[in-house]
Amino acid sequence: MGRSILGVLDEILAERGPGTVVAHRVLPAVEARTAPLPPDLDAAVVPALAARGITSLYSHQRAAYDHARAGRHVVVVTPTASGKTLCYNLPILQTLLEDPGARALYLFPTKALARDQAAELGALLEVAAGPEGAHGGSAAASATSARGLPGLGAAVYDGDTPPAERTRIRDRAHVVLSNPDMLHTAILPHHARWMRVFENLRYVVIDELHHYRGVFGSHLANVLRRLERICRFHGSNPTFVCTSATIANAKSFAETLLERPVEVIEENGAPLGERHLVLLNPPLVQPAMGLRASYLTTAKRVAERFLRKHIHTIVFCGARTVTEVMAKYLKEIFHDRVADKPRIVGYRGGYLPKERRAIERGLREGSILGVVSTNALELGVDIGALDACVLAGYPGTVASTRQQAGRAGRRQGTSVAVLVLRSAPLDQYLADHPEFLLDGAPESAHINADNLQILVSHLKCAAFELPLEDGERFGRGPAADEEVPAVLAWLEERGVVRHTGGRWHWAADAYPANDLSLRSVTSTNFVVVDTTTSPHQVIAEVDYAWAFTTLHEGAIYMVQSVEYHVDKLDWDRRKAYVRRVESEYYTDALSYARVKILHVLRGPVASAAPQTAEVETTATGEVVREDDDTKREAPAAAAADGAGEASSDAADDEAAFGPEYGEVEVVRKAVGYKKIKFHTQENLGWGSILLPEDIYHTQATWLTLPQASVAALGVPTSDLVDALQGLANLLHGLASFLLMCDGRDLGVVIGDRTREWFHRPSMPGEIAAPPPDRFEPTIFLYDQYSGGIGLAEALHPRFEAWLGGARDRLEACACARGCPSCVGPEQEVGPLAKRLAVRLLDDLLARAGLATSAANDTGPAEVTEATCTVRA
Amino acid sequence: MTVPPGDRIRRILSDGLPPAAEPRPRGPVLRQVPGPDRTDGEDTQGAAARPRVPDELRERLAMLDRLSSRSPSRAATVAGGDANPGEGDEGVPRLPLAPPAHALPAEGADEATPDGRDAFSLEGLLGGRPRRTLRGTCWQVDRLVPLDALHGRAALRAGAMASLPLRAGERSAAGPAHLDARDAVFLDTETTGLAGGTGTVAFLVGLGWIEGDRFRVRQLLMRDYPEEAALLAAVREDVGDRPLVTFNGRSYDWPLLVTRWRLNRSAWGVVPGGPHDPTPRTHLDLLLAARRLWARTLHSRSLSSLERHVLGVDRGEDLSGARIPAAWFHYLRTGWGVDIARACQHNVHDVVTLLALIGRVDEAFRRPEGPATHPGDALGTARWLVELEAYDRAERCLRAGLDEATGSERFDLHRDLGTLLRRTGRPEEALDQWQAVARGMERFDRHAYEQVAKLLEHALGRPGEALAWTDEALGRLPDDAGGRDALEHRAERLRRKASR
Repeated sequence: MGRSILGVLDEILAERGPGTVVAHRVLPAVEARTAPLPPDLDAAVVPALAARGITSLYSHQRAAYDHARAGRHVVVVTPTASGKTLCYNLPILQTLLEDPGARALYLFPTKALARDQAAELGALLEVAAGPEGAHGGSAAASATSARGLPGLGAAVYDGDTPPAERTRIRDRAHVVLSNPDMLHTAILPHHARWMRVFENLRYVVIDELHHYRGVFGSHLANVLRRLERICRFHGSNPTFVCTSATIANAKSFAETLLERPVEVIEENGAPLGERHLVLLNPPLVQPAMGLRASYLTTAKRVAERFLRKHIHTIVFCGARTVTEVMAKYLKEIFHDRVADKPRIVGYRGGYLPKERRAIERGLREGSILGVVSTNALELGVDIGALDACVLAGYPGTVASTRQQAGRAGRRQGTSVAVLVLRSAPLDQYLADHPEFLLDGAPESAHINADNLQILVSHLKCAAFELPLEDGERFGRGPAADEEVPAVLAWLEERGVVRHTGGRWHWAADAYPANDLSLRSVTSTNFVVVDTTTSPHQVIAEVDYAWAFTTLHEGAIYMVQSVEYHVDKLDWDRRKAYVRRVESEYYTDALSYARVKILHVLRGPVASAAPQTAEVETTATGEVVREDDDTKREAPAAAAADGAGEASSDAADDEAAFGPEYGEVEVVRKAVGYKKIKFHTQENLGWGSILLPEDIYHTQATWLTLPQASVAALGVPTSDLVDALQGLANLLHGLASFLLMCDGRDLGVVIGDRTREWFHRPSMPGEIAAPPPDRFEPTIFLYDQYSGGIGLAEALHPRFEAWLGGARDRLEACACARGCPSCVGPEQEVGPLAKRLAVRLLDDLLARAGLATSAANDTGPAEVTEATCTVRA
Repeated sequence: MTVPPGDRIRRILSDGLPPAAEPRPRGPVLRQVPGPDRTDGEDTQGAAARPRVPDELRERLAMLDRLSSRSPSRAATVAGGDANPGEGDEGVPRLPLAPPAHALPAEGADEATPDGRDAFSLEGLLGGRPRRTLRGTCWQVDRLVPLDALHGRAALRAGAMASLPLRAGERSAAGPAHLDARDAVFLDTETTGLAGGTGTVAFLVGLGWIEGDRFRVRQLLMRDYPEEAALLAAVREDVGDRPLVTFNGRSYDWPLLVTRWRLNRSAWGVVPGGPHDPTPRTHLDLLLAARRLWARTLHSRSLSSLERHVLGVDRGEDLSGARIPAAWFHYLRTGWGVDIARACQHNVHDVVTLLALIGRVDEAFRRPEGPATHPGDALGTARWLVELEAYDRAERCLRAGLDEATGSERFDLHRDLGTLLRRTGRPEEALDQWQAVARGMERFDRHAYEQVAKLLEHALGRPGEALAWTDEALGRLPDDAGGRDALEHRAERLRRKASR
């Protein structure tokens, strides 16, 4: 194996390979760093561990054990397959052996992970508890013991747990494995029934902590606030043990999420085989237009090379449709050549659980040779270790890249991960600066637990669970003191709670947790019904947010590369009726968004200079650089002034140039779809989509161009729109880079500040409406989640780096008139977009008091060509 | 640059903006609860203690509410759960022209309405008195109902005489094997919703027990949340260690009360299985009984449906159970007592129905062939009697059922009777029953033929006849039906046996 994988690697690295190698990094094999078993470990556990081949611990496992046993909250930040589960299983096992009355609660982001872990933990408990106590949960799903309390048991409590077993699990299971959703809807609102658990809760384990970014994390933080109240009521104070993939701000993130001080263990003691990471850029086809060969084709060729040598390979794709298309291509290649059964499979969210379990098993057992997946397999689902990993496109974050690449890699032996870059700005930035990915810090994770919408929902749940006392704090954020009582008072006005006797009582005939889904604001999935079979069969489930663009009538919906035509979408019943077809094309939906400003929370950051003077300056549109020094002090002044500008109206904007931040309403609508031919990617035609609008409320940061800047540009409106589009593309790419978030979490739209006009993709034959005469051109960047997740909020103060970085990118990009790596391809944004974007940016930077050259110093060094090969 | 929301609000508060709206008017002077009766000595919280909603926050919350209700995907509003939409905001109660007659105190109440009480206040409407406990005070209303009274067609005295055998799951480990109505407490709660969970409160607990020649119905009511602890303590004192009779109380009322005790840190809220655990007491749930006894005749096994069909009671203008939570929330907001008084009336009715119902159940057991047992329900009654090993009565019940029953019900009765007779050592009679099924039914019933063949072969030693029946079965067996092999195997064996 080792030889053949290196052979393929050499082929890829060689000149005749499928693309240009941008970087090749070799991470040498790492020896294990171990520590002795803890001295206080129960004698029964030692042989149990030995039976599993464990006679000493990796250093991080021992450190986690020591912290957890001392009651310190801890988060273990180490890569995939480093033996993370023992970090929490061992201290908890020891605690249970010392005190069989103790209880632990494990939370996993998915049901599948809980079931994986129940099997592993059950086996460990069984061995450790000895023959008389050994009736622990060996069967993954079921609880444990009918024989009484002394035995140690682990049991999964989720939506699939049979009602008959639930009482027994509540009263008897020592470790309850569940998920945040279940804690939220089923456990906390019934905490009196869980009294035995909550009175004795010693540990709470949160696995895959990094998964709880954004909305999900903001919800989880509030669920944990509720958990803390319930524990306090029942007299327990559990220790949190968490694991996480590598993220930049593990400590601050964990402390924000848990609202407790947390110890962080980042040193991985597990051994690793030699790992190769290759960045591959598809070759330029038309250099002047910045056109490269398709990244999909390139990725397909790379995967094909591995698979032909029978190397177990995982291919990650960014989107579900792409995953299906890629799986289809690979299946076609290996259809006749590899004997028996499906050796190549697709895997993504939306497949039915049974099918996913079968694929996971096939991967563990090695009967499946290749899998094409969305980031669904990025989580710690147990699929064993694979040898090669192909990433079709930059996953959007360094953390995801490392997680996905980590799927290839065993403790011994060589593994290879190949990242095939797209022509998108972010990917091409990596082509210019591979060290960002290879050496840079992974992303930060953000949450906003005090997001008003989320906070209100969880306060209702909290009041339902236990009346809130006057002066009781809900969370430790700034909202706890002021906003929480005010929200409760508002809820009382609405007749939802009642304030009496110094407490806020739930006072409605309703179960608030049922109205609130942690994953998104809407809870109902769409089911996809195949009408070709008799009886009709449900073949997949689709999230609400995806239904707009994947289940509209006329769409081609693919499951395991089989094409289905959507005949009918029953919106109210959340059902799509599909028919199996042989299609030569797939579909790609076009949607657009409109944004309406509801509430300005923060005004321009970059300037607080006297406004009258500012108006003078901007009117002439020149004397900007002279003001540099005063303007540079401006941010400090603004900060000192607090939120004085918070509600500044539009008239001030021209004076105080800079982005604004606030609450907005986003209206999303799918308008039509393209039919794209397989393999050639040829556009075969269009169809329209008739679906209701999706309206939600979120947070945005927006930039309104001063009228003076527009005037200084001196171009017709149509060219101005092109320039704006180009600038928006560029700023969007840079913003997701700056925030280290997935680009899809951040929406971008250009339009008029007053909402009279919005740029939208036009269907063929449609003439786009021009902007109004009094046009305040505005670029909106908004959190693509109802309620917002803090991205726009984090972007607002980073204005300087944001615009400066954009200007840098334009400078560095070698294309003549725009390419996918900067403002977008010329065909999309017009021939003038790049030049106008440069002028606009220069003007804006000057207005904001930032020299255009300044940012260059901080930009990454020039490593445009060649490879940075580090051989050990 | 960054302004935490708290600061924003603080600033707005200190900016001398006009104060947030006063708490809404609480309805026309209705909320007059006598001071000394209150648990905590304070009625409504003063406006000063109540946090204000800053205008800015109010605007944002209202916007969230609008957005979430406008979007096609989001049915639930941010505030959600408004119990009285369209009415809560102004807090103006709907005034009926006059209080309904049945909302006034019933005759026989042993507490007079004290003078000077507002006739529309809850206390004025209900009568009763404060109930003092170690955990504070709640409101208590007692009514005495003579046992000579009829409830619909049912005599309450029959209920008072009831003595029902208990199955294993219904009695506590050391408890007696029978439940005597005279020893029991009848219990029914009214709650703030059916959603369950710790946010659902039992605001009214109706108890009933027999005192000599009368049935005492005691209602314990909390007039606001702070009285809950007192209500729960009073229930504890009054129930004591007596057996319980409820309707759906096993899965609803009693677990809900246990939850409330736990949340109020009562001694009865302890760990299940512990020394004070109130759960494993003798507890007869009449819903389970009704399900078995009257399964066939009743489509709906709701209490009101049972009342109509089994007891012949018509509630008339009763406040429907579904509206009771809203009545309670309305009372909390406005102090308007009429609807909640009607809810109390509903609850009295429920408790009395429990007594009448247990009388009917007892009668169905005692005289299963009697009028209390509807012919169509003989099967369920008989099966229960079999479970209690009351074989004689079960047989009488089945035979009485056969006298009346028609159609497919007959065959079910024959089958059960056949099984029962065989078990009690009367194979010849059992054979009649099974033959009636095998030959009587239009549709082929392999099981019946097999029973006949088994009885003939093993119990009666007549293999030749058994073979004839088996051959007949093989002749009637449809082509696509299973079980041919088993029948042929049996026929083969019988042929050998018969030829010996």
